[in-house]
Amino acid sequence: MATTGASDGASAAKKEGLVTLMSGDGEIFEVEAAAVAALSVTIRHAIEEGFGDRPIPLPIVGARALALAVEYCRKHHSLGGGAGEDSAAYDDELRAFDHNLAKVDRDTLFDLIEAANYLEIEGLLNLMCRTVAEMMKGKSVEELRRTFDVSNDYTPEEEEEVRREVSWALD
Amino acid sequence: MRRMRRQRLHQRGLPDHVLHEILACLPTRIAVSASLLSRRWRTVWTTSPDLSFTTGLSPSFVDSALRLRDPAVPLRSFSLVAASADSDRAQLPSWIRRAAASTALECLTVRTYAQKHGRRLGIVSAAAFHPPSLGVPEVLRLPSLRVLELAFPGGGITQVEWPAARFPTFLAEARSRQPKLVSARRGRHLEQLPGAQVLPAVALRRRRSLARSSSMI
Repeated sequence: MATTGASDGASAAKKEGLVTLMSGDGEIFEVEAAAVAALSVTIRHAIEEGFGDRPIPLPIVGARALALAVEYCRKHHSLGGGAGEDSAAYDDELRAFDHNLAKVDRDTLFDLIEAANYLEIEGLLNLMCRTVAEMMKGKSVEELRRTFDVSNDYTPEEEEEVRREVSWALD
Repeated sequence: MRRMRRQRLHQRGLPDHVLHEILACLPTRIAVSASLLSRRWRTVWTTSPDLSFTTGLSPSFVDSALRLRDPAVPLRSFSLVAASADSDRAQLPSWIRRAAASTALECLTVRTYAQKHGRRLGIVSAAAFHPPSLGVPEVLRLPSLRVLELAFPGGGITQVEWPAARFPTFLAEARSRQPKLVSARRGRHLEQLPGAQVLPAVALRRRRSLARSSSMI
């Protein structure tokens, strides 16, 4: 897991190969630079731009999502070398890891999508989008609205109009 | 906090490209139906770069999707895995040509089968699948193409008979142009196929499109 701790300036002496991340809610994570830089384009760029000893601020990423995203990077870096899902290196262990990660509750799922999008972790974003897509299958519009807390902001007239617009797809 | 978390698909709003990633995992029918959810969703599908047809094939459905999507957004993937009647298959070449009109096309999948009394039959009409009429050689010249999959399951009445003279030539061309693109289904390598009269399936893949940098991690 990510090591977390106080960020007092005195302890800012950098350990070799670590990078410090700060979540939007102010939590500090010290993580292996190689693992996160390999998977996250955003963090790779931040490191290249020389954040040095300063924590890299990730304003829209909450601590819980960040911990999960870091765990994803670490796992995929160590097991898969950062390679994609269709590569040979993507073995059963990674598959099981992804499978478990996709079982998070709905709010965490969307936090992770936002985190993966912000951090530009392509594999994690794909995994989570696929999970949402699976949740959308076989549901009526009403069920979808309930599942994802989407409120219907159409007027009845508009809704009728849209229904006509897409009637060719409805069956 | 609770309020903030509500309406995640909606108000705080995932950006379009993320919604497109979600829709890319769904059949086009569901992607279009999502228009009914809310104003935010009304036109999301029209700017999605991916089309996927997976159920019983209705020519008018495929036509409508191709016609009503936003033409300013080039197609990234076109996938058609469906049962179809003889009459529908006549339209396949034109759909594939339209998909291949997008130079951004990365994935093209066409797997159709005839269906009769719930049984899957092999593809019957060979004429529609001549590589020239499918536009396949043109497809292979697309700079972004990563996956080309054409599958015509055997075991039915007839399999596709590719024109023996034309097809190996086109495969050889493909191979010389894009050597990493190549593997054939069912354990056969393309080198073993020249002269094959009957080709049940071919799937060409490469790790990255030519358009992308190969140095990406």
